[in-house]
Amino acid sequence: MAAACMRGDYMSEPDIVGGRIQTNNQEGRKYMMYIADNLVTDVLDELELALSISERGIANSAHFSIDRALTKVGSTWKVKADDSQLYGMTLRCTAEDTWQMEFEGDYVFGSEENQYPTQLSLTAVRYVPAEEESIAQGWVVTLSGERREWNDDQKNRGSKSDYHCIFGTRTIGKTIQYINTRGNGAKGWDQMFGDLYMTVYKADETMDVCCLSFEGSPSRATFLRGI
Amino acid sequence: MKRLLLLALVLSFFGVSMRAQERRHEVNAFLGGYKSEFLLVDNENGQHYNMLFDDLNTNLHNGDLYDLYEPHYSLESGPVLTISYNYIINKWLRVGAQSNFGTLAGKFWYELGNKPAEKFDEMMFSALPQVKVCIPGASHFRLYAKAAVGIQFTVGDLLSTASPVNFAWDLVPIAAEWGGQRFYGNAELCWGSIIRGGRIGFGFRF
Repeated sequence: MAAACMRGDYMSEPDIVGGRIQTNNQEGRKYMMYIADNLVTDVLDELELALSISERGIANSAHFSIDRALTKVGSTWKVKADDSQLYGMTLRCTAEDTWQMEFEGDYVFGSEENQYPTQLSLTAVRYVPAEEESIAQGWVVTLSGERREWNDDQKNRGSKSDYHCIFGTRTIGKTIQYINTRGNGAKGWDQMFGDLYMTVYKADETMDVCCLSFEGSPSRATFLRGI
Repeated sequence: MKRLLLLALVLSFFGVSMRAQERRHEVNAFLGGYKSEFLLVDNENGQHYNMLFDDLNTNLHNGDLYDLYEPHYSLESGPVLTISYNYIINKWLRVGAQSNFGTLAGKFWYELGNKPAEKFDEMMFSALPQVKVCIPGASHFRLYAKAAVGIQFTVGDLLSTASPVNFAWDLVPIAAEWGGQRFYGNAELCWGSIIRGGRIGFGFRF
């Protein structure tokens, strides 16, 4: 799977360092895990909660604005609970066992002071891994997004920070698989496969290109730079 | 520092007994400094930044891109020696010059990014014309303030962004001197390009 991180697969992004470097830098790895794990997991948690409500036939929810059953193609739900980090996110069934989520708003990485505008488009396809049979549920996720480290009211860094990043699975067909053998609602994932990419900018200057590559246990993801 | 304080006190008491006479010149020696932590202040968002290096956007870790790609630093400063001369114009006004000598060492590094860590170990020397304004009061104790501007030279291993010649300043909003007409002790609060904090010393008039 790590081979998918090599240059050539993703020619649309710049190569600024000149080679593939594996690094043990924990701060960089942690930052990308905020995207790959926290953010995506929160989105999938909302989806699983919505599907749970839908499958039980509940007509009204304090958490979602409800349309038809969320398993019907074209049905669109919206997160209306203002205590949710993903307030305003829409969930739309685009095909059988396939949902597309769109979010735009402030999202926290780690602590409250790291709350910045984040935009995300994520497609999740539900599947049951054959080898795990009925006890496992997995999601095949394709995503793209952006995070800007400044707010309209300049409340966090003032004018000092002009960093932003774009992230995602980069090209159509590239995905990250999230597999959970503990059933719906469990936090965290037993296995993850795939690559998450991130390009970092300061103003308009490209600062870095990073990749977090999953080959099983999420805690053993490989952090790569200079793709 | 204790020895200097003791010396200043001894000289002060010695000076009390000396016969007052017309003296037009005064020379002082001070030792002072700060701990580098004193340079860390909070900005309007409650985040730490450094008063010397705030233009480099230094900051502490809190896990965002800014902290991954902007420099972090550590600082270590030594004591600062100050030599001062004043010509006594009248009871409340003196003019002269001062010179400061100090050291500063530390390093900058990056969590991510492509810049290497950078160390610096520098000595600073400044020469500044000054004005000293005294508040007339008791003969053995008086308050005063000082202001000085001049030029500062830095030598040693400098940061690549640092300049060897800079504008220098030294402000003393409030200070005290006590003792006799000839020998006396000083304590100053100060804010300058080399020293920020306080200093103590002793003086001699002739």
